[in-house]
Amino acid sequence: MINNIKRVALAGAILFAGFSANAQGILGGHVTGNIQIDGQTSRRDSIIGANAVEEGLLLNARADVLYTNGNFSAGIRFEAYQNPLPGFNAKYKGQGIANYFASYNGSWLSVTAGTFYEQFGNGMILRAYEDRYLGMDNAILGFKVAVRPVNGLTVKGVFGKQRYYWEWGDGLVRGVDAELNFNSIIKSFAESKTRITIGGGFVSKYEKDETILADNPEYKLNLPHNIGAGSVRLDLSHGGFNLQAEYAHKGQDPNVLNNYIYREGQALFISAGYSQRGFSANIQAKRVDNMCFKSVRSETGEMLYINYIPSITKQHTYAFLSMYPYATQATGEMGLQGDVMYKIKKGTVLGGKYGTDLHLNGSVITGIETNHLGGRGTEGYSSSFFKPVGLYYTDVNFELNKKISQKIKLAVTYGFIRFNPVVEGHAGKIHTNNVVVADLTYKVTPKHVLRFEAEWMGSNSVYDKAVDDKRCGDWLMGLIEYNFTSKLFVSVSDQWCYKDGIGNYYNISLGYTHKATRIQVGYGKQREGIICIGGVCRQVPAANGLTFSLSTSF
Amino acid sequence: MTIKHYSIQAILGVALLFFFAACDKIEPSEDGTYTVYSGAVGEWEDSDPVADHTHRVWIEKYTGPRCNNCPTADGVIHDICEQYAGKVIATAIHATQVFGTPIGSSPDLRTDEGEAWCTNFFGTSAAFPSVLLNRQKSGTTYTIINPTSPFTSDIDAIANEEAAVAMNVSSYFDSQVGKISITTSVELLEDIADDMTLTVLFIEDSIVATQKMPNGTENANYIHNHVLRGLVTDKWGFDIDCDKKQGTARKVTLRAELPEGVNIDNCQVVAFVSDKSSRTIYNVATCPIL
Repeated sequence: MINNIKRVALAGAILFAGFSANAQGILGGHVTGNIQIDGQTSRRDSIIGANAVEEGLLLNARADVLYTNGNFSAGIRFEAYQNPLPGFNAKYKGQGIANYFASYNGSWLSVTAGTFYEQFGNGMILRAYEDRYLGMDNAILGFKVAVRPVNGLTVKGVFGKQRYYWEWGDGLVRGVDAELNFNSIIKSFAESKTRITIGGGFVSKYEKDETILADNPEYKLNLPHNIGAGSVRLDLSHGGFNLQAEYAHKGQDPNVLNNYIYREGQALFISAGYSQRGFSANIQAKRVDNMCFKSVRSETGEMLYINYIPSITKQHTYAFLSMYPYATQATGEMGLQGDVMYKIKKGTVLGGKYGTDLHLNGSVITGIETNHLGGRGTEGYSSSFFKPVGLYYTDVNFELNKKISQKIKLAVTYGFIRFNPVVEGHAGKIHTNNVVVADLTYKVTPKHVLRFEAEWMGSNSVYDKAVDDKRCGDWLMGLIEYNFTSKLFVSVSDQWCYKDGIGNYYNISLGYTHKATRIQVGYGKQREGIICIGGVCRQVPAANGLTFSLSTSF
Repeated sequence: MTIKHYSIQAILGVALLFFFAACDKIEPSEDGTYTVYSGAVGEWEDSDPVADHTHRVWIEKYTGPRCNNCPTADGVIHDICEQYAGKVIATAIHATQVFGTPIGSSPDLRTDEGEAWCTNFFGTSAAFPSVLLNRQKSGTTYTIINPTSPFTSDIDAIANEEAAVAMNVSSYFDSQVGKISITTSVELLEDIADDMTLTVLFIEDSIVATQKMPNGTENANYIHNHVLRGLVTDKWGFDIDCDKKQGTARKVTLRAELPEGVNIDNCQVVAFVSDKSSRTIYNVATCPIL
C-alpha cells in the first residue's frame, strides 16, 4: 500500500511537472509522453454472438511519461482498465502504475532500475516486451546492466520478476548476453564490405518447488528449480547479401504447455537474403522443438513468457488475408518462407509511365515428428530434426502495386491460404481459402483522397454450429474511405458472408487528426476471431456497438 | 589495465559462473520417469456435514536439539496447549544442520519434509525457535513468531474468527493390511474461490533425546513432544476434489505405514486443509491412532 502511494506520488509529481512546464525544461531536462484511451460499447447480437456490455462502457487507457536529463532518464506508465475491453484478460481490471524505471546511460555503462524491456538476439531465449493490442506485457521488474568495455563489445545482464497483470510472477529471471562486432573491434576490418557480428546469451529462471502429480498420483514430478536456456548467433553481410542465424537450446523445463515432459528444447532460425536497387529476395527457415519458456511453469495464459519465437509468415493487413493469422507453435513446428520483391522499371512495356511493384511471398509451416515416449514426468517424445509432419499453415500471395496516373493508384493482391485449426487448439479439417483484393486510391484534389477496397474470399469451409467458427464460408467486402485534407476521414465498410456461413459486419468510422492528436469514432459489428502480431495471438470476441479512440503525444 | 577493466572482468566472471551454474539437470529414475514418491492419495467422496465448527490453530514450531532457547519455547507452548485445549494443535519440526543435528547417539528427529518446509518459510537463514500459526501471511511474507514468550493474542486473532472450513479426522490401525487407515472429513462453511489441499502427518510424544538447555548445558533425558515424524501425503498436500461451494462436505480415506522407529502408542495424526497457492491453513484437526 505504501509503495503504491509512493508510486502514485511520483507519478503525480512527474505528470504535474510535465504538463505545467509544457513538456520542456524540467530541472534542465525535458518531459515527453503519450496518452491513449480506447473505449467500446456493445449490445447483444445473437447472430454474431456478441454479448451486451453490462457496464455500458469499457475503457482501456494508458499514459506514458518520460523524463530525460542528459545521461539520466526516468519514466512511468499509468494504466487503467475500467473494465477491460472485450478480449483482454479480466485480470487486467483495475488501474495503477504499471511501469516505472530510472536509468543511467553512460559511455561504457548503462544501468536501469525498475521495469524494463530487453531482447537477446531474436528473442529465442529472452524477449521482454509489451504489445498493447495483444494485451500482453512481460516487462521485467529488477535491474538491467549493459557494459561496453571496448568499442564493438556489449555485455548485458538482467535479473528480476515478470509482470503478471497487476502483480509480479513468482519466478525469477536472470540473463547475460554478449555481442561482438568484428568491424568495430578489429581496426583493419573497419571499412570492410563484410560485416560480422556474433553473439551469445544465457538465461536462467528460478522457480520454487511445488507438487505436480504424475499420471500415477502417488508419484509427483521431481522438478528442476533452475532452468537454463542458451543461444549463439551470427549476423553476416557482404554487399547486398546478408545471413542471420541463431540456435537456442533449453534445459529440462517441465511445464503445463508441454504437458510436464523433461525433453530439452531447441530452436534454429536462419534468414538469408539479397537486395539491390529494385530487387530483393529473402528466404527464412526455422525449426522449433519444445521451446515454451515461461517464468512460472503452471501459467497457461498470455503472460510470463520469457522468450519469443520469431514468426516467418507474412503479417497481412487486408481483412480477409488476415482472417486466419498463424499463431507460432512454440511446442513444435518447422517452416520456410520465401519473399521476392521486384520493381519493373518505368518506361518499359510492363512498367508503364510510373513503374510497377511486384511482391511474391510464400510460407509453409508444419509440425515436427514426435515419437511418443510417455506422458507427464517422462522424456515425452523423440523427434527427427528434419522430418516435418502435418501441415499447419500455407500462404502464397502475390501483390501488384501500380500507379496508373497522377491521380490513381491500384494495388491488387491474390492470396492462397491453407490453415489447420489445430494451431488454435481445436480439431477440424484444413481450411483452404482463395482471396482477391483490389485497392484503388483516387486523388480527387491534392488534399482530398478517395479510396475503394474490394475483397473476395472463397473457402472450402462451411459454418458448423457445433464448432461455431464464424470465419467459415465465402465472403465479400467493400470499403469506401474519404480523406478530407488529411485531417478528417470517414469510411464505410461491410463484410458479408454470402455462402456457407453467417454474418454481415458493417462499420462506419470517423477520424480526426490534429498535430499529434488523433480521435476516431466507429460504429458497427466486429466478428469474433483472432488477431496475431508477430505470431503471438489474442482472441477477439464479437461486438456490436460503438468504439472510440483518443491518442496524443507531447 | 584500468580499474574500469578490472571491474568489468570481475563482474563478467562472477556473472558467468553464476549463470552457468543456474541450470538443474534431473536424472531419470530406474523406470525412466522423472518422478518421486509423493505420498498417499485417495478418492474423495461425499460426506455428512462436520458437526464441530471450531477454528483451530496449528502451532508449527521449528526447533532442534542444538537450539538453546527451544526448551523455553516448549514451556510456553505447553502452557498455551493447556489454556487453549481443543483449539490449538502443536507440532515440533526439527530442522537444519545447525540446530537439528542430534547430539551424541540421540535419534535424528529431522525429516525431509520438515527441512523443505523450513527452507520454504525461512530461507537459508532460519532463526530458531520460530513459530508459524496456520501459515498466516502479512502481505506476501509469512508471519513468524518468536515463541519464547506467550503469544496468546496471535492465537486469539485466528481462533476467534469464524472457520471457513470445518474438519475432523479419525484413524485406526488396520491389522488386516498392516496399515493405518485415516479418514478426514471436510465441510466448507463458506464459498472458497481458490484450490485447497489436504496434508496429513504423524506426530509422536515422549521421545527422549539430548537437548541443549538455555543455560548451555545438555539434558540427555529431555522429553520431546508432538514431534513431526513423517507425512502421509505429499508435503504440500493433495488436491481436495470439491466444488468450493458453501455446504459442500467431502471425505477421503488414506492408508499409510507408520514411519520406522515410531511408537504407535505415542503417535497421533494431524491433518490440515490449506490454500494451494498461498499455503495458508484454513483449519486443522488431530486424532489418536486407535
